[in-house]
Amino acid sequence: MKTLDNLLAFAPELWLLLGAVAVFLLARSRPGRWPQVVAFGTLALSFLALMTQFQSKITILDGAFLLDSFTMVVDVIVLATASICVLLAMGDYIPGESRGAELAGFMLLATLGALLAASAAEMAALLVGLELLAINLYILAALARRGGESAQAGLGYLVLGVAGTALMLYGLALLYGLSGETRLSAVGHALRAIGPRQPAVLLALCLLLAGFAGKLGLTPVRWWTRRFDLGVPVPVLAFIASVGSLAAFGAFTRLLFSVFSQTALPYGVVIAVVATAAMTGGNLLALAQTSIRRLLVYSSIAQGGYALVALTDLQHGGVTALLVMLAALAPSYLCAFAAVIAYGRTVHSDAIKDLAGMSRTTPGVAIALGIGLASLVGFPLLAGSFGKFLALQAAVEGGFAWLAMVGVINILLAALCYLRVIRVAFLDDPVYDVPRGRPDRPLQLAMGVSAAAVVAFGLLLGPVLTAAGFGQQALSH
Amino acid sequence: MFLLSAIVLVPAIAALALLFFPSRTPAEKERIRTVTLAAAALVTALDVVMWYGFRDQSGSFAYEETRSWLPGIGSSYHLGVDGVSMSLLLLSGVLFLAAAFVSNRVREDVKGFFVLLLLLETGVNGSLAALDFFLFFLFWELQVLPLGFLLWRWSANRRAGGAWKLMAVELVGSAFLLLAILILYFKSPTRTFDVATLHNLQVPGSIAGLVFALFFIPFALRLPVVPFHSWFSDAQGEAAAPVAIVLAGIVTRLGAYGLYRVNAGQLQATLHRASGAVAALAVITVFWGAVAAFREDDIRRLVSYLVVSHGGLLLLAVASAAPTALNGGVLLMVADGLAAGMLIVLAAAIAERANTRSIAAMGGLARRMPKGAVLWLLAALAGLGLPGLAGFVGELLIFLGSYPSHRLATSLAILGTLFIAVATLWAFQRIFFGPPIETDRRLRDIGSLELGTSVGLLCLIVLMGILPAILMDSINFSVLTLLSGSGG
Repeated sequence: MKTLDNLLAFAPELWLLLGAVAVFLLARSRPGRWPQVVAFGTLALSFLALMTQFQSKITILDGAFLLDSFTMVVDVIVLATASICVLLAMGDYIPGESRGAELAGFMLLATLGALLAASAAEMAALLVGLELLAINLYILAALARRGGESAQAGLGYLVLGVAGTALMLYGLALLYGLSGETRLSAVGHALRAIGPRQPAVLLALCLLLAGFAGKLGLTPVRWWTRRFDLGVPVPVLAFIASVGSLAAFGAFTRLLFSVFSQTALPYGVVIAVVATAAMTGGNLLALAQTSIRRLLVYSSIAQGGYALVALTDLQHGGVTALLVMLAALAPSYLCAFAAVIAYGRTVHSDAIKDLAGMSRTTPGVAIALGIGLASLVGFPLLAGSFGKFLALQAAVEGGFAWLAMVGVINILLAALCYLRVIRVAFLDDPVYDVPRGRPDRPLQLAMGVSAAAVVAFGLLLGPVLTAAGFGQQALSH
Repeated sequence: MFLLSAIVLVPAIAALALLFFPSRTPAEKERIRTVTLAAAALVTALDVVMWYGFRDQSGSFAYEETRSWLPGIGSSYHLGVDGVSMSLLLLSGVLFLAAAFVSNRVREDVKGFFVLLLLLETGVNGSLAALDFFLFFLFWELQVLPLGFLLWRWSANRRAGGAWKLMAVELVGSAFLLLAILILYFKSPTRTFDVATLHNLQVPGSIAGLVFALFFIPFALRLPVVPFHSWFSDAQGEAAAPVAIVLAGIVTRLGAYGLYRVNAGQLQATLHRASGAVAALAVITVFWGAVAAFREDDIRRLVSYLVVSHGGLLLLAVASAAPTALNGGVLLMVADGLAAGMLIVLAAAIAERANTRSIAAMGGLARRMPKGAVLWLLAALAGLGLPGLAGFVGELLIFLGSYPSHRLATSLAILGTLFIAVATLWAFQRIFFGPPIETDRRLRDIGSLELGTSVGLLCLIVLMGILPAILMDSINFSVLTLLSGSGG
């Protein structure tokens, strides 16, 4: 049967599924560190399985899923990010507490959802992938670990996520109604025939963007964050902010490329407006924060906005820019989050003012935080600067020079908000008598790897650009 | 040739090496200072080699190095010098060496201090030698963080208002600079950051004004121009002497360098339209600096106003865009850097000996510190432009060059220069003559280290005053090339 051909291309996903089952079984019998080690190994296996399919375009289940270069690039970033998140979860352990072995299992399942979403080329598959990701994220957010606030945070997140899914479904339903197709490329072809001035298409785009906003990490209405100070552990936060939005960006880009760039719809304007709002709003909100965790979360709204800037130009280098941007953002955020976790384990606070004197008590952690934040600002030669630069280039190519201007002004806003943190961490005198010490091995590893990726990004720019270029080509064929 | 790479990267390599040195005992701290001195001396020696070998008088770039680097975004590792940047590189080498010499007073966190100072030198030399706008921006940014940290950690009173103002000003400036560079980049058909290629780019008239302003603002903020000069005088008032020397002598002068290279060189047509406003700004800066110098009681801030005021003269040279004036500007930068360095060394020494920075509380120091008095007078005269000392030629050329196009502004600027001369001499009178201060301590004269540094700088000032031609010819050809080949 043709439908069931190529099922082996699901090997990375299958490994993840197997790994998750193993982790859940192990978590019952051996709740020590083993489940997390197994999870880490599973991600590595999945990565190897992915590599065997390098540079081939494979259609699975009658075109429901598509394994092309674009999927490959997104998958590689997702898997690398997820592995570092597992390391973070390993390091964020307080003696006397349950190791939270299930955490790793749900992370694997969420990663599985992320891979499916990134390769989905059909509406139902897209929805299944995204929901598999989202449901696991709800569970991760709600897994009560410290205090009773987790459940509340998880519930808030669930409500918001479901609302987003509903909006997305409306959008997809509209597209189906207009075209009578569920495969994304076919929808694009059908819409081209309808004609440019169809308000329903615009409405569909707006609904989809609104539905995706939460998943892309663009909504400032993350009021669940108000409780996460006590509730959601930082590794989970890092996972939601990185893997969650990576997959959403992958899926959204394919949707945008296959469907809307085929029509004469001025989709760029819509995206430019949303990007402007997200960048400016996110940075302003981040400026007002007193907690480093919340600052990182709110600034990720701004970074999401930046990534959207790249999507204003799908014809030339937009997708390349987006992929480079995602590859650059992930290690920058993880580096900063790892530093926050490592420091939080000695100081038990996430207030920015408590970071004072960090450079003298825990210099390694302070440097990692500094590198992560400097990259997020877009300091030249660090990873973030190349992503931002290519995004600006995409905006100019797409005819949105004003958006590039807004982007540069937002670099300034972001610099203001991160420099405040760097100032406290490096220049202020210590508030507390912090014991000097080294963070745990997994945290050291996570910080080292992500900081090295951020610093060495410039050296690897050539290969990264080539890979991202393949991703772009794959979409346009 | 690796000469320019060495000049740019030797300080950074030394800084990296210093990170692995222990710094607990006084001997270990002394060793760190020795390594810094050696690195700074090596860079200065390489500068001299570069100057000696600079025979090319076509006005084009010498010692060019091009290496493929980030081809994905159209940027390459492209270094090169012309007469203007070569002169400033020499100045940079001398001033950083002087700063390393007089940094024996730094006691706290010695390692951090020297590492940051060396990184700052790489930033300064890199932005002078870079012929690629991306590289230039990188080195420009590389100056900001070390400078901010140096001003913050090793300032006199730990308030460090200057460090904050510097950060704020540089943040705004960097955003504008980045925007300007990106506009040029996106307007170039081949998408390149190369300075020489972009120099020939025809910037469309509609955005030429915008690009001009976007470049002008960061450079003018750095210069600094009135009314945005308070970061500089605050920083000068607070900074440790070595930091103050490089800040006043070369770091701020990079603003003038940028104005010469980009605003006067590349965007000449727009400059002609805006020259009235630029000249007005120049005159205001000259006068404001002079008046503020009259009213200033803090001996360190007094020196800073001399520098601010002369920054106005450099701006006047830009406004005129006349080759003679720009030649004079480059010469004045070198002369001023040396004189200001000397004045700062002496001011810090005097303030330390007298245990006060208030000029009103000083007096009659000439009898206690005769060497200090003589050197201060010579440095002040050099800063004023006494014939035979370096500043004279520079100021004269600026006035000669800018008079034909800006008669009123030039006349006013000459008047302002006289004011600042009077202010400096009046301060000299109040510090060294008049009723002696009551102090229970015995006032020592300046020490051999300060004496050696000041005399070394003075020798260069005299040399430049007698033989300006050692730099002048190469500067002149470069300025002519810069002004002739302009696109927009």
